[in-house]
Amino acid sequence: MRAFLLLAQLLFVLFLLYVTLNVMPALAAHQSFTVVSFLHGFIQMVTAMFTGNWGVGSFEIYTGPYYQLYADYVPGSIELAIFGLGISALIAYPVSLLAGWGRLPGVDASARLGTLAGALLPAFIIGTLVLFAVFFGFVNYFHDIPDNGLIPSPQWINQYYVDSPPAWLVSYTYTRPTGFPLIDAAIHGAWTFEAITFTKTLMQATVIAIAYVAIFVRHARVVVVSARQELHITAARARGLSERTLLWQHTGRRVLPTFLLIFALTIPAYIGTQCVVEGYFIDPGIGYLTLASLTQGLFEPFEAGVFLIAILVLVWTFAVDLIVYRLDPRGVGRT
Amino acid sequence: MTGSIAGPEPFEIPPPPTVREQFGRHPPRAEMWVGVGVLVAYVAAALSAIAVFWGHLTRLTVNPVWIPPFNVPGMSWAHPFGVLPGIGTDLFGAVWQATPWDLSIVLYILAIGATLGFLLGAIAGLHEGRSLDSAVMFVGDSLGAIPAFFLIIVLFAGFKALAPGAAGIPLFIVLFGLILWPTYARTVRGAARTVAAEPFVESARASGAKDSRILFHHVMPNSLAPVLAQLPLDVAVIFFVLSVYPWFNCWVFPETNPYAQYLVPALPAFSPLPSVSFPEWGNLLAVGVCEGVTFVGGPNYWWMYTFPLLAIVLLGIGIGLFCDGLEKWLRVTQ
Repeated sequence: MRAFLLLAQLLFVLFLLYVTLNVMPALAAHQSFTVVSFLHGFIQMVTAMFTGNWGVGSFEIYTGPYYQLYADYVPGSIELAIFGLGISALIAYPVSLLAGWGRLPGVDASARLGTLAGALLPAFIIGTLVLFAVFFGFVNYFHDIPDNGLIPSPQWINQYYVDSPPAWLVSYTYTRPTGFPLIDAAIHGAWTFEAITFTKTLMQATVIAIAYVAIFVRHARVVVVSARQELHITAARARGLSERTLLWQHTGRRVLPTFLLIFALTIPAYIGTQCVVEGYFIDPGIGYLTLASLTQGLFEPFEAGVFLIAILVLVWTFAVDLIVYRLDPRGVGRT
Repeated sequence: MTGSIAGPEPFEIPPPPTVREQFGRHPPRAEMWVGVGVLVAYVAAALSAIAVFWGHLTRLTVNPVWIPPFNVPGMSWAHPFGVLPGIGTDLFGAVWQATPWDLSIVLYILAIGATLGFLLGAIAGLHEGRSLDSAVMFVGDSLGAIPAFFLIIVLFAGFKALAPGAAGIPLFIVLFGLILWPTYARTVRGAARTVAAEPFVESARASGAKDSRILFHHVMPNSLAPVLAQLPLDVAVIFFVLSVYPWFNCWVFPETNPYAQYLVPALPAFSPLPSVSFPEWGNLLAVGVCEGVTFVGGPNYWWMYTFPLLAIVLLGIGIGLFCDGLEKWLRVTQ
């Protein structure tokens, strides 16, 4: 039943895209629609999306089918997401618990103010500030510039590999054989390349984390506030358990499933943030491709990008529902 | 032996305390008053801006002398926020002039999104498992699958293609409000489900209260917390979208132009603002970033983007403090 619901939601998203990106511009060009032609166009679009027939065209130096472009760009986004989510979780979990617990004076107020200010800074502003902060250190240490993608810049590559760029590097943009720059550089023993890529990935992931943690903490601390008022916490405190145990073991475990639900709820915000960061740093990733397609008026790759993002969000929400049932110490849903 | 047994005196339920009495018994915390103070200051700035800039509220005051290659003044007593050279406008005046527009945009979008989401979420929570709940959650989850800023850009672009003349700020506000409701609905639904299972709701139902009475008198007043937690975050989303439009065309100037850094980025065709000279903080922020950051590692004219950013952040913090304070006050008084 839930699988059918997922499919129906995807169709709803595609319908929305079809109407706004295909039907409305066509109507503006005085093209008329009948019910049959409307439905025919929609069915064609749905079929194309689900079969990977996302059109053929040019994007920057690439010319060919768009599905191939997405296949090449996906690993970079996944790699950045692993770092971004990892850093976000490392910051968000303790900050939310400490802020919601409210036993340390000033922690809650400063966490709320800090995270709210972080959320109010657009990701490209945070990117600019971080770039300014690290620019000269990065240039002096690596002899490369910190923006312009996840891997070293073409100038650095041409200087470092004097004869010709390595064969595992395609168009100075993405790597082979796996497509994950960190793994590929390690496979080929390119350790300086690896260090630059790692630093750039870490820097961009930090920018994403600053923006996303702010959104997450604001929801998560409310959960901790209500969890700390529960009877079992009061009873445990009355029996003499330390505040540390109450916070990190009792409440920490208790709120973990809800934190996952909040993450599922805010995943579109996370993806939106990563898209903008990819766009700002010109990373070869899904976010950059989707954003750049939109600004360049390339609707085919844009529709494909939104379709992929919608699948990711819906499937992840579904998966979180299942994980929460397993993790909840109260055994909710296991009966 | 007969006689009537006197029953107990009828129990008189005291009337619920008025808001005024609640304020007296449980005065709100200082943070709420700080938030109120910030918001009042913004409203005062907006009203004074309407009076001062009446007649040309939709267009920034431009002084051609401040557009390069002429000498562009920096920060001074005459120009406390400096000058935005591409547009050729005094930033203090520009930020001030933008205040009524931005307050209206934020207020209307939040009013539409939060009201709709609050109502639908509460209805869905009260009728959990029924077809109405399923329908609300289906549409909400589907809309929520696309990041809000992609969705608003795409929807507005579609409408603008269809009716270029009619697609302006009012349409943008309505569409944005309609996009934001799912977040409210989902979180409110969770709270409403919990409230709907409380004994006082059960007893209200048992005493014959109608669904609408339970919804408006019991469920909605007790499910307000998620709305108050979300409101400040949506202020961030609104300004993020507004600042993204000019940023799309940032740094796409011809390299041969020696004054390229001072050229104003053109707004994309699908922008809700009529022109880049429209007084709006997100617009000023993006133009400030485009012109203030010439290239990374190069000169950083920080004031060009800092002051519009401060206007946005202070408003968001003011709304955040007010909402947090109100939420805490409601928790104590309910």
